[in-house]
Amino acid sequence: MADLDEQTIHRQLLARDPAGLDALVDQLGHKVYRLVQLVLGGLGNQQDVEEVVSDALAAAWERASEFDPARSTLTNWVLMLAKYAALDRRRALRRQNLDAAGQAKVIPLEAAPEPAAAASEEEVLAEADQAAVHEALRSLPPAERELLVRRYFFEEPLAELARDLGLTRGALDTRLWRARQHLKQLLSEERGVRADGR
Amino acid sequence: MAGRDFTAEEREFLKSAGLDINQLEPLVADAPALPQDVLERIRTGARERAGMALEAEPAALPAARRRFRPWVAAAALLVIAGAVALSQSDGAMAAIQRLVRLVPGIGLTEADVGTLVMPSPVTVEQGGQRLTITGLISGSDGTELRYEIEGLPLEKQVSDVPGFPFRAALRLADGTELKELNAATGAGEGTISGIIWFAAPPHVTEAFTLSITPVDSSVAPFEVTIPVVDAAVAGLPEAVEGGWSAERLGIRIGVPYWTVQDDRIVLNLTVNAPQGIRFQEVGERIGENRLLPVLTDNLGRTYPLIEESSQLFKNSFEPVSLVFQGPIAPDADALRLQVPAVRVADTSAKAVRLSIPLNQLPLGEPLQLQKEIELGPYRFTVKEVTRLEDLAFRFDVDLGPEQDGTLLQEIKVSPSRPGSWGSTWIVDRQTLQTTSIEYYPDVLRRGRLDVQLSEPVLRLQGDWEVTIPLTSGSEDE
Repeated sequence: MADLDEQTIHRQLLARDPAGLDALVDQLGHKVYRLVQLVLGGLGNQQDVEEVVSDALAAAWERASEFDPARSTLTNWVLMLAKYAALDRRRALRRQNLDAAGQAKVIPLEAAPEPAAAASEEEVLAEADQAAVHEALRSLPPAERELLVRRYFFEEPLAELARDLGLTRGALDTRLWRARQHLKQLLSEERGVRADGR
Repeated sequence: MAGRDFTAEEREFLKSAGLDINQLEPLVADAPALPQDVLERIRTGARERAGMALEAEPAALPAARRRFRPWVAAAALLVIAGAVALSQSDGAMAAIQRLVRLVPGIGLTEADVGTLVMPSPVTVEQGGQRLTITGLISGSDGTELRYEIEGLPLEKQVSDVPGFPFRAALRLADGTELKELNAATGAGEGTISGIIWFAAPPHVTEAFTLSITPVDSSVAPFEVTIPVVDAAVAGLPEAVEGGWSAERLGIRIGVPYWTVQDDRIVLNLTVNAPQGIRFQEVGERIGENRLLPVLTDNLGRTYPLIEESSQLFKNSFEPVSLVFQGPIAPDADALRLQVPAVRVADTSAKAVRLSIPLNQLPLGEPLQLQKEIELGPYRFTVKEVTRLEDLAFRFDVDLGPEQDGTLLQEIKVSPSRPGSWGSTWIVDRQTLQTTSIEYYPDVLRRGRLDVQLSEPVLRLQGDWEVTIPLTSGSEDE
């Protein structure tokens, strides 16, 4: 099936056309799945991931009227719905993950996505700034990258993050600080290179 | 927009780095395509949630999952049978029982003639790492392999590796490779364990060979031969019917199958609950007052629960199972399983809305509410609400005492109109009741904090009791 553009899918959703939901599944299912995997960070199992993905796509169907194309792409809007659905599931799973003493088991950092296939020059130019940030993010060591993703994209509270990783709050602060410095350094180098090239 | 509880330093970092935390697309730009069966399950789930009638037959479960379908059927049969005569097996039930055996590393599952099983775990070592095949079962509905790899480099855990750290290929003795269908993985400190589902073998084999090809240096290459035998001649313990408890608090607990192996007693457990009640967990294993299942015999002897071998949570891949330390005393006539508590979510309770003008919520100043809420049949109090930040609120709640065996432990706070939000919970260690909920809406409308309270989670203390008669043969298998 040929991919539909976002406007068409949105119209289908607004018209309560089941084809719109199918298009979301076919075109965004894999991205939503990946995001949910990242948010759950090793908690739960595949069934949990699939359920959250279904929840998020059904929420997009139910709430299509709330989507504002002027503020976001449809893909990003659906991903935001998925993010919060996954955070909700993670909370429930984390509770299950408490050990007999009521302490959370250490949940290791999950893998972050690898660099995507090279984007076209047009796309790079259009989204240069965010692309550069994400390129720098992907260049970080996996553990630092994951720490930044969990803290800033998934907005995990510091106390929760420290508990999951088996770190003291001070140790977590230090690791976060290092990761931020590292990213800033990479960005600074990247921006320096771009400025030199102009 | 910066996050809700970011520090000033973090906000400055996000601003200076130009990191837009609401742009999630780049994070998943490389998401691989999903297998068709996974996509179809997601489609079916989304359609069901969207209230659409299925246009066609639901997509078939992946072959390996079908192994568990007889469980569903068996549990349903037992519910019906249990209402009539719990301890009397009929022919149909006996036929089902004959299919269920305790398969090493897999648990109590269907394993009839023609099903190949691994009689005992197989371990190989390579490069300081140890691969153990903990379980394998293969039949006409698929092949399930469970494994564990230990000794992974701690400084570079598997979970740090982009993508899956290895490719697995499973071959029959004649070299035929089985198609991989699905996988589930868990990782810990220096270990990775998981399940891989492969297609059904086209013909009988005496052994499988698993090859692990690393895609990252964190995992060593492995090749291991896994001898298998027909389940019917493997000498596996056969499961027999257990029984059902009386109904308490609307819940009945059943032991559809149980068996013994060496000095261990293995029970599978199922819960029959009213519509809208979703079973989550058997017992209460955390907190100060643990409420775990107890197994005794008719002469009063207790068989301790082996928690690390039991599955107390509802799990998508396998039934709830309890493993107790035996052996059963030879003069015992019956076992008695006592289940003091279960945790359930009541999805039938209608959500309650709460609306507070923001001008009553100055930053950092608690608004005393002491508002009693009725959420379905459950009552609790919202004591106070505090605006912590522009888009961060804390609800201090008193979920009330236990009443008639029912303790309200959690409630969900979410926007009363559709919208994105986040939340975290603070829980009392003794009762495991939520005491505070921090709630982070993405937006506020019309100058009000509008939320709904829903999805109560309850601990039910019903002291259910299942009597399991020890018929000849069942106690000395």
